[in-house]
Amino acid sequence: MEQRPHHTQGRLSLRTLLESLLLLGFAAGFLSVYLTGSVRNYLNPRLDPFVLFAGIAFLLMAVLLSLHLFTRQHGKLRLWTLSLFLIPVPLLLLRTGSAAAPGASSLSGTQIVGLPTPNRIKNDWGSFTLAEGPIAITDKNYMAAYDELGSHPEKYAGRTLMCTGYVVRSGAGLPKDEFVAARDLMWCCAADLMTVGFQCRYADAAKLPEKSWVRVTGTLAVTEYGGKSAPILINVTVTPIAKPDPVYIYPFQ
Amino acid sequence: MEGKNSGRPAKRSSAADRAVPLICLLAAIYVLFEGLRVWLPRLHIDIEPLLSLRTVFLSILLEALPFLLIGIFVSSAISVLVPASLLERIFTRNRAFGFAAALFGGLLFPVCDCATVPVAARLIKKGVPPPVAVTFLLAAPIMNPIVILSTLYAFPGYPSVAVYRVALGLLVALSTGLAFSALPGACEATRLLRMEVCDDCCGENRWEEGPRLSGFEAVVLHAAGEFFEVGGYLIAGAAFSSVLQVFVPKTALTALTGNETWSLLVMMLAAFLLSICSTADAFIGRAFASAIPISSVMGFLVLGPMLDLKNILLLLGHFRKRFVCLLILVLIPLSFIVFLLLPKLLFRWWA
Repeated sequence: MEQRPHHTQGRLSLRTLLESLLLLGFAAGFLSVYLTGSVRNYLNPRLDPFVLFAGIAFLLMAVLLSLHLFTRQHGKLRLWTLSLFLIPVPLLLLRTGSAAAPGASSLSGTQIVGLPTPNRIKNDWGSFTLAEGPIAITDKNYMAAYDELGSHPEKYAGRTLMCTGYVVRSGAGLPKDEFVAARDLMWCCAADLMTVGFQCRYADAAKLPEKSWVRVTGTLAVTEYGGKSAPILINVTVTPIAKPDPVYIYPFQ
Repeated sequence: MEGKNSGRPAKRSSAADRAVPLICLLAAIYVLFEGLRVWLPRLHIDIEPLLSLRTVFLSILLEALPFLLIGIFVSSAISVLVPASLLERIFTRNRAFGFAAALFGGLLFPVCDCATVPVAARLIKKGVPPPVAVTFLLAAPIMNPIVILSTLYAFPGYPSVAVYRVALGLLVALSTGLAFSALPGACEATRLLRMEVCDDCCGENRWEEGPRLSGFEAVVLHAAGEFFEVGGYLIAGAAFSSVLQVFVPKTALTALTGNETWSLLVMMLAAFLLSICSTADAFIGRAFASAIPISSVMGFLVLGPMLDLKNILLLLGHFRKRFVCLLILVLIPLSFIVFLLLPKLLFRWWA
């Protein structure tokens, strides 16, 4: 009976080699996305630790698997199945720039102005309370302000409001002199982007390029949209701004 | 002896034979990517949708793969570390206990629904009765504390939505599990699972020789094997979902809102096709809530975490086609009935 020594014997297993390399590729992809911060284009910040975990797990699997490159083993090399794993790796590693176009996902854009909130409960999204004086909407307090203003527009009528957004006119069913200063919410990932925004009345609304980024300052008033009362900005001044980075609003970080 | 020596040269050339198509494949993929990157802008083709597709596809993977890995590691840990008979003894002793554990076990699993599939398959393999595992598979994504919290946040002032989501979800999960236990012959593990998943890839079966692997190394290697068995399905599911999400026009979803039954069907189909993460779909569901009846919203909220395109493909990675078809055939009508009948009783005040 032949004596079989430990797992240094045997020829190189192509299957194990490919699997180790693929795992390494995934590890590199996940870790590079995490470390360079480009994960911001894809995921809500609260999911970041999971991306790091996955990167480390892939690395661990790649390393331990590579220790068995020369071990005899059962199993066939299934090339076509493995090639499926090849697709995400270069996509993760290659940086081609722009994030998903705003409103890309077909789910977004269905509720431009107001989400119905029949009974208002004070919540602590962003730990925000609307004090006296002008209201400055930032990325951090966007959801809290949006929710509050959307539910009680009459309470804040007459106040000054400042916010940023990209211009949306087509598809929102608005009159010629109105546009929406929209932002995209990323609840979990780029696949669930939802567009929300503030309605603005502006004489030259038709001249504003669609999807251009602006800062809007105006006075809050009450209008009707979709059968419910909603906030609208009047006496609006519009200033073009650069596209913000990150471009999304991330609730529940 | 002789046979072995004369066999070796033949084996070597077959390795080269396999390497050549692989290299061609790699070269083709590289050329394709480079070509797209360079030529598409020059041809004035609008690449925005492709960029969106890429972003949505990667975002689904970046979100789902970590949770799939968690499920695979848990499954591998169970496989390597838990003695074979232990789970079987615990769960077959008392059927009621089994179902209760399945219904509430999800509370221990605050992860995306991708994680529950490998665990459910592993539980069946370790002797848990299949109907109980099916109940766990369906209940866990909804009994997820984060999903419950997100539902509470998405419908402020209406904690009842979260309560009903959980209650209806448990009801559907339990009734599906009970339906399975009533079906003769559906409960044999070998008829349910793709047994090859373990034969080819497992730590214990894959390596012919070498020293016995330590627990940790065995779990990691087992996880690696399982990843390659089932990960392809998740990648395919993410690809399909991202195509649907980017290219299906928005109007298709909100158009059919008149008839309550039709609207429920459309929302269940939407939940299935779009494969939104179960923590996010509470907010998507809320966005639809003003336009459609509450029964349709509940259909969306309860079916979404249980069964969607990504999930089905992942199930096909672990279970036989027959089982997956059976699951769909039992689950869809049951949930349809539940969503149509119960909200009428529960939501009279919603109007």
